[in-house]
Amino acid sequence: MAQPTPESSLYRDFAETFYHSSLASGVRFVYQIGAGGPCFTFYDPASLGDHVAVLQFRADGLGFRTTSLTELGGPPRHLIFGEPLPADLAQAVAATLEAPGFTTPPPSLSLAPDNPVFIPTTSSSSSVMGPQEDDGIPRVRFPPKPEGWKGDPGNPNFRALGTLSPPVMRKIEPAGPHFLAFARRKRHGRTFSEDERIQAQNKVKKIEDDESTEISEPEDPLMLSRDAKDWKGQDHYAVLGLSKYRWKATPEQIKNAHRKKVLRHHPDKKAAKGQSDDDSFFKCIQRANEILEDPVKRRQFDSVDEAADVDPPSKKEVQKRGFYKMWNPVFESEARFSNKQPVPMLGDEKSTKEEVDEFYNFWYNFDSWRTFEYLDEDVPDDNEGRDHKRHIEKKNANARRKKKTEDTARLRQVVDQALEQDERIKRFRQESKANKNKKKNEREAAAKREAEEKQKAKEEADRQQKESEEAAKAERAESKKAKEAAKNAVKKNKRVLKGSVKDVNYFASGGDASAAQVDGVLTDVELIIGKIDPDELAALASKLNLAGKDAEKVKGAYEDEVKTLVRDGKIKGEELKVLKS
Amino acid sequence: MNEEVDGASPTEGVEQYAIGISFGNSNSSIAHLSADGKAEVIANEEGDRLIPSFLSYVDGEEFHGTQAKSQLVRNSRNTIGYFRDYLGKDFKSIDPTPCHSSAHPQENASTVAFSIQDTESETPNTVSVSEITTRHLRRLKQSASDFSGKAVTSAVIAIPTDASEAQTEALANAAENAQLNVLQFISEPIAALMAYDARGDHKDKLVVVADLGGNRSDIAVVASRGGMYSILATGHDYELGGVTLDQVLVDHFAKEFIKKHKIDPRDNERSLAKLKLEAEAVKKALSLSASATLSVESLAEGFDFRSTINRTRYELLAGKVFQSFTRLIEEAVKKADLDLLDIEEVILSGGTAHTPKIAQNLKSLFSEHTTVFAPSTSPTAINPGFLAATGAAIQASLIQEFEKEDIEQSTHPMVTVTPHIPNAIGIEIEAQEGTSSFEVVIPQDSAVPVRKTKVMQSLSDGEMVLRVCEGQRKIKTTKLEQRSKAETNGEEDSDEDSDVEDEEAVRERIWEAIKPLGEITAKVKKGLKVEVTVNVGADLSISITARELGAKTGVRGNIEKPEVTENGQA
Repeated sequence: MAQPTPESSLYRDFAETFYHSSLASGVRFVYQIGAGGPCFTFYDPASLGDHVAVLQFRADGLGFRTTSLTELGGPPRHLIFGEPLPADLAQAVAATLEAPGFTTPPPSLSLAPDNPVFIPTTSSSSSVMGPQEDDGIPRVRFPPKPEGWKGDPGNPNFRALGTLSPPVMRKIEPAGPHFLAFARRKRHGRTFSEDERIQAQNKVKKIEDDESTEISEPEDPLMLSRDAKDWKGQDHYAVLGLSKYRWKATPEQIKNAHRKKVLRHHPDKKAAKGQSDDDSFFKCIQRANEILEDPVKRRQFDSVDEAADVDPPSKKEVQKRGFYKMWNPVFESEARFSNKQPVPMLGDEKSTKEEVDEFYNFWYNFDSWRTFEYLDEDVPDDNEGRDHKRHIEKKNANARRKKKTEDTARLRQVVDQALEQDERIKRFRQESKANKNKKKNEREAAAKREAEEKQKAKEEADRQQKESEEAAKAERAESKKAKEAAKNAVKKNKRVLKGSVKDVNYFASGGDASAAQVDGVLTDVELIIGKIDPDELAALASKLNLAGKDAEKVKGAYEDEVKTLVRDGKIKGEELKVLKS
Repeated sequence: MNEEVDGASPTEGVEQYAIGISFGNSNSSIAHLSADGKAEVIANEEGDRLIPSFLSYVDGEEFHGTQAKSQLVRNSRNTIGYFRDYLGKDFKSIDPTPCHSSAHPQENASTVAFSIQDTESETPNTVSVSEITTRHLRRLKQSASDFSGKAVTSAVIAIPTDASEAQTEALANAAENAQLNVLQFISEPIAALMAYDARGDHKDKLVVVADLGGNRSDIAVVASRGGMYSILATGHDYELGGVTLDQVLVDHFAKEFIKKHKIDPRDNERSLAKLKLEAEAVKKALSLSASATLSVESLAEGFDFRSTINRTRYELLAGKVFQSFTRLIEEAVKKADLDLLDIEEVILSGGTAHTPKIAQNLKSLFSEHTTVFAPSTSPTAINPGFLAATGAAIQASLIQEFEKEDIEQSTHPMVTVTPHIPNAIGIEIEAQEGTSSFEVVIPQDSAVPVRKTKVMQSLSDGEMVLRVCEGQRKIKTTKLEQRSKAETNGEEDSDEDSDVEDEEAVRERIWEAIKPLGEITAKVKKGLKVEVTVNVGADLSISITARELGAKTGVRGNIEKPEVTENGQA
């Protein structure tokens, strides 16, 4: 049976409203949600207000439990229903009201969708069919089926007569929840039923998700039979079904989990199911909620929540399954105690040296809020003597301090272990060592390279100098040669000149030339040789060679030359004796 | 908190927190959805939930709301108000009258601007109306952020039904500049209707939403069908509003003052400003109590002024104005092709709706089955000044999770413009011997697709025909005397007059089946409850299901599910 739940504000509102309306209208029968679930309450007509009997839904949905119904002294006069009851529930109501204790059988229950209905239970069932429209249902008279009425083929009870008039186009204002549904249907081209189905599916899925993320944990039968007195020993998270979240559970989750657990384990429910009224586990739930919803108490419990601790791995495990895989959970669980958040995490082999350094610095200076009040020995009441009480308090304080110190030392040790096994530290050390050596080597290499370069440069300079010297020498030799060649050429040309005049017998016509003639010619030739430059000399010499022994031609050549020389102003005409032009 | 607000831009991954804003010419308000899911109007840092849309500058310091409005007396040149309607319009098309006593609007480029000293320097700056709106919205956003402790990133803004595209665009840009993402614009009457419907009432009805503001009045006739709203007609009066009523009081008190001192306080700008502010306060007081006193120190030429007025006198003086409100509403109903009897609810929104006489006039105008939601006629009425903001906040909470594109697609005319059925669909029944009547299943003006279920209890026995028809509402007048317009001109004896008229002409609504659509036969026992479901598809096909109520459980068996589809093309 779909039993209305106490959270359903629908029913609660209804009960509240009609409790008051019952007082006003003299109605004495109210459906409401009591502490034990939905019930009908009967009121004494004489003293309105105090109920005299309660009719309670049985949790198994099979009927009702009544308490002292006979005290009512007669059947209830009125029934009130606000929201329509589920059909099967309504039937159950009807069945129960026919049970002994009611003299008049009630009419079939009429349930209105809108306004509450008042149905006098004493009236006969026929009066219910009267023309009144209190329940919002119109009483109508349909026309009778005429003779010879025929349905459409294939559907004997229906026939179509016409079609809908043409529509008007209007704009719907895009606002409100119903428009959202409309837009969704229109945009996805869904019909009503399709859309309802899809929405229902989504809703179911959402609820399933909610359920599965909250308390789907199976309940340990051992835990269920726990004694509430031993609350210190209980795992509060497990009691609320949050053992996979533990300290990570949000206050919202705790609230939801608590509500669900209460719904399931409320003593009234158990009593309704006919089980013993053992409420010890309910007390456990209340205790767990009391501790977990108070942030201070929750921290105290989290401090000693061993189930959330992760033990540091042994060296063998680290070797077998990897350093990061084994150590990360350890630090993750320890990180919950840090006052400073976020806590730097272990990282992986790719972490930089800075990250690793920060990690170890943080953990060696860990600022923990972990406290050990939870493990305190119970402080006795005053009546056991002040001294004893003080003694216990002192003992507790000492124990806390001791445990705190131990915890700090423990954490240090854990970090030490991690540091010792951390491959990255070794790698960084090697790297830094390698780094140092590398620098040294580099320096040496640089010095060597420099020396080599210097040597090379020197050799190069030497070589260049040598080369240039050799080149200069060669050049000198060359120029000497050329000069000598030129000299020789001049000498030769001079000889040609001198020879030429001799060949033409010093321009003497017939017989030997007189001494004066020879001397005059030779003086002239000497003069020409002296004044002429080597190129002209060569040209003259070649001319003279061509002229050979032809005296006229030789003379002409000389005379041409003299002309040139005179024109250039090198020789004055008077200086020459024979070879005048 | 300031850091939180300033540091949060909508692009960052901050939690979307959307509010509803009603931005009026005279007053604005902001609302959000509180933790228990109820829409709640937020008070600003001064404790005002109705925040005057005023900005004022004194030596470079910005004042907002009530503080700015009180500057109208001393610092009127640097006080800006009544600027909402100027947004997105050019100078030629605006009516500058409301700004007579505050900073005057000027032409600037293609928009309207104000010349004010908003910095410490003496030279006035020209500030465009868009910039003013941005500053106003920024203050509203800041107030909401301070109140909720969360950074407000987006909003739904309520706008009048006649807002042009240019106006909404200008408003969206102004909001964007205030780092406020406008999720959607919602019509003011729809927002008001949503504020009432949020109380859980979604039954089909025809509603008149009258937004009676400070400077203008807007009427909308809305068909609410299955929680969806279609506006059937609108009416606007840009010169009728709270200010008109203030003017009546100003004139009255001015005459009193002249009688005493032979000075007209309306001639002096400052005296007039003082008188206006006080007259407004008196008007508000008269909405709650039977008499109110106006008291101004040094109203004009050093004379103090004190005068008392009672509500009856006020209602006499303002009778004509009240009448024009009634007329405006009547015209809007007529424009929607409806009769006053068709209207099931009248929602009064806006500050002027507090005035008891307006609501009373409307109550006597409409039939006795019509609920008039105004503070003076309905104890369950919501404060009319908060309706638009409340509705906008509800809409904001509905859509704040959606993607912008999603909202745009859903508000596109492709989706919103839909065929509506012109006539009601229902079942023809026998009223008395021989005559037939009509039981509505789907009311007219419902958008398709639509599906409705109706439960009827049979009074007859045997083989019956359930004839599904289109039906039309007719007005039946039993006496032939023409019903004159409700005379509600505020005269003391006017109430009696209209009562008499109502008695003389008995008019009622009757339904007539005009076109049969289909018939179902069934064996019906007396007292059997028959559930008829009519489903009109988007293609106007109809499917009809009739069965015994609760037959799902199979208590009495014989489920009949005849079904047919017809194609009626538009």
